[in-house]
Amino acid sequence: MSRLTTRMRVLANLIDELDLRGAIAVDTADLLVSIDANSCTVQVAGFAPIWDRVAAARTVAAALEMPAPAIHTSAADDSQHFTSRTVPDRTVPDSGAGGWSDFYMRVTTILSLSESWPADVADVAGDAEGGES
Amino acid sequence: MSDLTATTAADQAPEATTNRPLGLDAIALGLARLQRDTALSDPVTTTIYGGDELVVCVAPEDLRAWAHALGLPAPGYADVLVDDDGWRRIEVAGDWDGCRARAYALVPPGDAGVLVGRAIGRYRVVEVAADGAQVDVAAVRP
Repeated sequence: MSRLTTRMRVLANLIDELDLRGAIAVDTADLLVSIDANSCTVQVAGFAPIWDRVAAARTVAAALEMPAPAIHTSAADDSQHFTSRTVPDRTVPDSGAGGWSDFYMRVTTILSLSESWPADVADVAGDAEGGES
Repeated sequence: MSDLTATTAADQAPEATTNRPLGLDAIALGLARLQRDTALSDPVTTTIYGGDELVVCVAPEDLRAWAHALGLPAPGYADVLVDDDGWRRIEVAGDWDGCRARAYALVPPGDAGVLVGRAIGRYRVVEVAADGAQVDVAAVRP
């Protein structure tokens, strides 16, 4: 089995387990899991309320032992991304074949124009690593 | 995580229905089994949308094999789309093991002839004439 496929399975398995335990506040149908040779992204999308998406993003990030999510503003479209990410060889432990230590990891959801961040997320914004803009 | 060589509940054939999402893990497991049983190369990007759709971006030369393995239609000229920047996207879609599946390849501008030919299994052979003009000597070759 290829390395990528193995890691995709590990990630999908993890998310399914979180969903079964009720730890993810949104339907797994609202999750997008993407992986390539160097990076992995979980995006919480769909029509769930913003606070549920934020909670789901936090839960997935915590399960992956990633840093706490913070808001980043994209200069390209001025949308705000609630993003948690890490870089290779940092933070995420490599537990055998399914480890993520050499992957760029990202968990994100995106604010639509009609939504406002929950107050507790706005508080986190001050701790963001400078944002993308 | 279950061992792929062992029989697990998730190893059972997924129900062929589009009414219920198979789940992220079921699709990922199906993909793992597919790659285990074939000589398919790794996709460039693998994405699972909401537990009921698999999308693989693969190299142009791998597109036909991936389409075949997923039971999708073989890519042809009609599946080649060109965007405003000149990139070609060759994409086929269908159902695979109870979920929607798409396989596509991207070809950058300038490489269109050879790479699109590889993606759809046909080669466009072009010779350059003495006056510099390009001449098709065999527009389509298996």
